[in-house]
Amino acid sequence: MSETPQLKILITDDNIADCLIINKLVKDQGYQTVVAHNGLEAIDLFLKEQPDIILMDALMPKMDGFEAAKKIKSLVKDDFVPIIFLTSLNDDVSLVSCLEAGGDDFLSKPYSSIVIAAKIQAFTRMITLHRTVQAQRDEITRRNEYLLQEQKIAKNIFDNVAHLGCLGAENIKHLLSPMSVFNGDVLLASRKPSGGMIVFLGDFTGHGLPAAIGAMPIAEIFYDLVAKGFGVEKIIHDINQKLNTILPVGFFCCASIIDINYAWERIKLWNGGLFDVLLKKNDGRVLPFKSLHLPLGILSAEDFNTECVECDMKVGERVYLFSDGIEVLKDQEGKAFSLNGFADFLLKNENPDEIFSHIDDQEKLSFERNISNIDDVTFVEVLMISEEIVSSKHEIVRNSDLHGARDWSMSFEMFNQTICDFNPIPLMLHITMEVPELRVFNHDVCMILSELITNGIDHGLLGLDSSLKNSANGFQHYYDLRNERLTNLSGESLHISLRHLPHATGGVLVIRVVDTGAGFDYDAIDFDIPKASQISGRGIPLLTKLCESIIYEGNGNTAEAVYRWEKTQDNNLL
Amino acid sequence: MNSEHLNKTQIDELALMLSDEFSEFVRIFISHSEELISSLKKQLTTNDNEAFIISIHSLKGSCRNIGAELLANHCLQIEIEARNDKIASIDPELTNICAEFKKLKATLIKLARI
Repeated sequence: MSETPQLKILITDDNIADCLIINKLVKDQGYQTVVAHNGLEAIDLFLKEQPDIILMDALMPKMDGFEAAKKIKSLVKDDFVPIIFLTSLNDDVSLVSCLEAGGDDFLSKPYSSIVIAAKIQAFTRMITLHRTVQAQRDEITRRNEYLLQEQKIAKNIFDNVAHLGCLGAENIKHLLSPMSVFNGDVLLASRKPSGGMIVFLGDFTGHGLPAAIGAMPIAEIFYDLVAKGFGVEKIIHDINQKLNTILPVGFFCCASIIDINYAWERIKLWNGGLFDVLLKKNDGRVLPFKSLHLPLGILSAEDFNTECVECDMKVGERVYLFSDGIEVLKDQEGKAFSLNGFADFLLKNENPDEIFSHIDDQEKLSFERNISNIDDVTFVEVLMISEEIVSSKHEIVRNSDLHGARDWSMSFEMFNQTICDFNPIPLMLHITMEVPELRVFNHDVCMILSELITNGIDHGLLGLDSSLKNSANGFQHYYDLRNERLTNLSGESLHISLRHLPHATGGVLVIRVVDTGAGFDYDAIDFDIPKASQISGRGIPLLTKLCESIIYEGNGNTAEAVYRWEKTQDNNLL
Repeated sequence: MNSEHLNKTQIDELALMLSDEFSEFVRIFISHSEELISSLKKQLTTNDNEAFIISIHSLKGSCRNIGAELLANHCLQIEIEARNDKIASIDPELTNICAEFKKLKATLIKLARI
């Protein structure tokens, strides 16, 4: 019996002679014993001595074995303390009473040392097993709690990095499943400094931590580049390059990115591996935009293609992005949405306002029914709205740095092919953002810069006629011409200079753009025509609204805008 | 005296197991059994059926344990009667039990050399 652990056994019998025999038998097996002579004493000793096994006589004065057993079983809760009834009762009814009271086995008189040894050993093995299982369960519970706690903290950090950006905008409706802390989907949206917005939806292979870790650099790059005024191509290029570097083989991110231009009522779209992006037109048609590229993170920068598709999207039209998992959702008849099913549903739907709420209801329903959504759906609807009603609220940007460049000038000149290949706006914005508190007016500065630079290139250097863009096919023709002329540029340059002058309550930023083109008749421009009807013009009414002054010099190839900004009380609070 | 009074094999095994404690055990058995018998008589006069069953059951059990089969069987018959609510028909003097116990006691004293 040397390998048997020193277990403590509680013996309860009112008959002193019997008690003596069994006590001796058990002790001889190498166990420690404690003895009680009735049920009450047994409970008392059970609490004091914490025995591992209990041998219990059935019929006893004061409190019988059945009652004592019940009481003890109710006290042990999760632990396993076997109770073996000592009995010379051998009718079935009595044995059933023993079981009902929580008895685990019987031992009948006269006692046999071999039977006692065998039973106690069997229960010892069960106790060991039970304790192992319990310890493992506790360990699992502890680890799980730890894991959940870690996930909670990680989720917190994740949410701060991959924050929802401008997903709260009035023209966006979105649905992010609450299924798990990290579901492998990334949804980001941000207003462009030049107006409009960019929406990104990504769906990682796999879920959980790897997906969440991959999502963090996406969010960082996305928000950083959008804020600096970079275009979709650059953003998608940089994200791909980052994922290609960090993700192991076999991991990638299916994604769609949409650049929404309110002013031109157009969208620019890139889809790599995600479901078709669907555009619901005002005339009821549904245009699918298939994935034309491999998902992000697979191809190296040299092989990666950032080419986007462009399309008109009029005010009131809606575009839909979703991750896989939409097939889990059911339509009104309870049939699962395949992609075609959802496209059909969109097509048949005559009340576009209800589309989102329908999907939302279905998602809630499937969540309630606990339909397994391992790959749960993320769903976004973006509505094209007119630029005039786009909330003019500035993004909240923390700006506690009161030191910085206040009084400076810079100039930058691009020649020939660089005019075609390089977007100078992020660079310019980067410098203007060095002016403390001017960051809040990022949006205005970007608008002025991009209008002046676009005018300088498109009209000044390339001599394109804006009225081309008035017709339906005009846009395409305009861009074809633009690309053609850009690649053939020779002997031309575009000179941009910035001068910032501080004053007590803000500052003045002077932006001059000089092109080497032929110029134009600036006296002919009607500064009072509202922007909407002059969309294809030089955006001059918009500039007039933003700037203190806008003047053209020479033969019209020098434009100078003076932008005056004032600190607001809000800015000081930020 | 391997008889229906006392199973010799069983009591020998018990003696072997208890060794030094055997005579002490016999003393305890005898005194405890005497206590039980006097309790039984008392319980018969007060008609305490429940307590009577516990006592007779206990006596029966310890008799089984030492191999006093005849006494155990007497106890069993009486226990059955008591359980069937026929306590009134039980001999108030428990003559059979007393007589059998007297014989058993003598044998045990001799065996344990008390």
